[in-house]
Amino acid sequence: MKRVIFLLFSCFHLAFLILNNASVTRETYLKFFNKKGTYVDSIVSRVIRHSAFLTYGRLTGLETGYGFFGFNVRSTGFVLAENCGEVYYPKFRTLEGENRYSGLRGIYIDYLEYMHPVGREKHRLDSLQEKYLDLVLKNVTAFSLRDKPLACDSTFSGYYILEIPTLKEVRSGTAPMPSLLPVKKLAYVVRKEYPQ
Amino acid sequence: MSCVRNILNKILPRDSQINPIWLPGFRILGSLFLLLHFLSMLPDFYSFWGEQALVYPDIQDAHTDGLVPTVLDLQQIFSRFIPVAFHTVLMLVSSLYVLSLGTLAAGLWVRLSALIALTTHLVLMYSIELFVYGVDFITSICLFYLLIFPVGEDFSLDRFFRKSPPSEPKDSRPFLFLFQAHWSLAYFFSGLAKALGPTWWNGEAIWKSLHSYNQSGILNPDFWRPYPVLLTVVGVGTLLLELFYPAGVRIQILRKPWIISILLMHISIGVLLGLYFFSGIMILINLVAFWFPYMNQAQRPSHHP
Repeated sequence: MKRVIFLLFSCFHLAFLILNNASVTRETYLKFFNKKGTYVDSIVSRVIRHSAFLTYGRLTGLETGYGFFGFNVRSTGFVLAENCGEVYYPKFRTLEGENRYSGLRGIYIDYLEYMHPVGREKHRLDSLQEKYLDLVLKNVTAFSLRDKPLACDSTFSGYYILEIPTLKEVRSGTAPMPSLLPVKKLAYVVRKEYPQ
Repeated sequence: MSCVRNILNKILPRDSQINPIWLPGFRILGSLFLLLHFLSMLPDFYSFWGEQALVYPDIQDAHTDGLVPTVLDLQQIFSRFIPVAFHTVLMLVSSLYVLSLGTLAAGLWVRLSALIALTTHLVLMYSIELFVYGVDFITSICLFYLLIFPVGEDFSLDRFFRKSPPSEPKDSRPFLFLFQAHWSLAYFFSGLAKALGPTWWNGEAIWKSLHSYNQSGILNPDFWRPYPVLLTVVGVGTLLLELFYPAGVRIQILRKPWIISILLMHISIGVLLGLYFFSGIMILINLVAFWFPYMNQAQRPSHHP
């Protein structure tokens, strides 16, 4: 009896995995090729975003899709702070710290998607989300500058995307040098501690 | 019951032909690996989880959907009853995670240890949701399977302290079926997502990956500049290896070469992209699912016939 129950559970578990991944893959496909989804897509999308579905996915780890690096690989972004010509960025003691930080840098790619949409009417991030991303950028800047001897009061912080030449350009021998594309720039006044 | 047995007989070898070492192997190696992963983060622990982290806990919390409580949530809940600092709750959750992985590896209170490890892992993971990446989701999956699979039957302190004589070994095939099916589907969908876009067919994806995630890699990505054709071949090879993984590991004659190719792919990801722990856990999963169960029968635990 236990085996039958376990097999039924396995079928449910695997069906969940298939539905979630098929749906995520389809959504990414539609987004990547700028295509419109069908009525079925919207129903499935509503199902996989239901709180019961999300909770089960969260507790079992099934919430993740397996399209790591699929369709297209995200560009790399950098948060750089500048104070009196000196450039600062977060530094970590471990390789794992660097890898985790890479995850955060990915969310700023969303800026690009909203500010430079391809094949769609231009629209900006909704203001709350943009404010949130600005706040995160400010936090990262503060972390980068912590305990640093800052010479100036004003600090500029920005999010940049690393533009690398395509493989096609490399093949043809016309590859330009990698460059940093500014996506967002903010200016802050740094409160400095002056000696009494 | 006979229906279940018939299904399992068709898709898996007979139970006597499966080496049950895969279950304790999964528990011991898996929990030790997760422990190593967590401990490797200690020098940067406060940069991510601390009160003065890279992104402060309250700002990070604003990004979560509340399905799993964070350390800050727990601190606020505890504070209703007793004043407790954020740092104390963080230490409590982290210590419980480390301790539960230790007892899980030793095979002590296996189910309870797995439950605590999964719960504390989820709390720690969603406390830094902005910094979560692939390895964290794979960790959740592994801990969930460690919770529901009978991984404490062999090579465990639970067994050592048990007073009753050892019970008849259980048929591990239903668990192996689920584990193998999960990873077969995972690789298939990974390959499918790659196959649907153009960049894995022309090498651009590999080229971009090498430049995107190479901070911890050991080779400068410009090393590949003179070999664009090689990158295209590697891209297409990766895609095919993943897309046809379910068939490759199911056909007996192909299983070993297929798994060795997948292991080489993960070693390359670790070395070239710097994703060491992601690669490590994927290598472990492949060994547990498709290597250990088919290992030499002489290596089975002594109480099995």
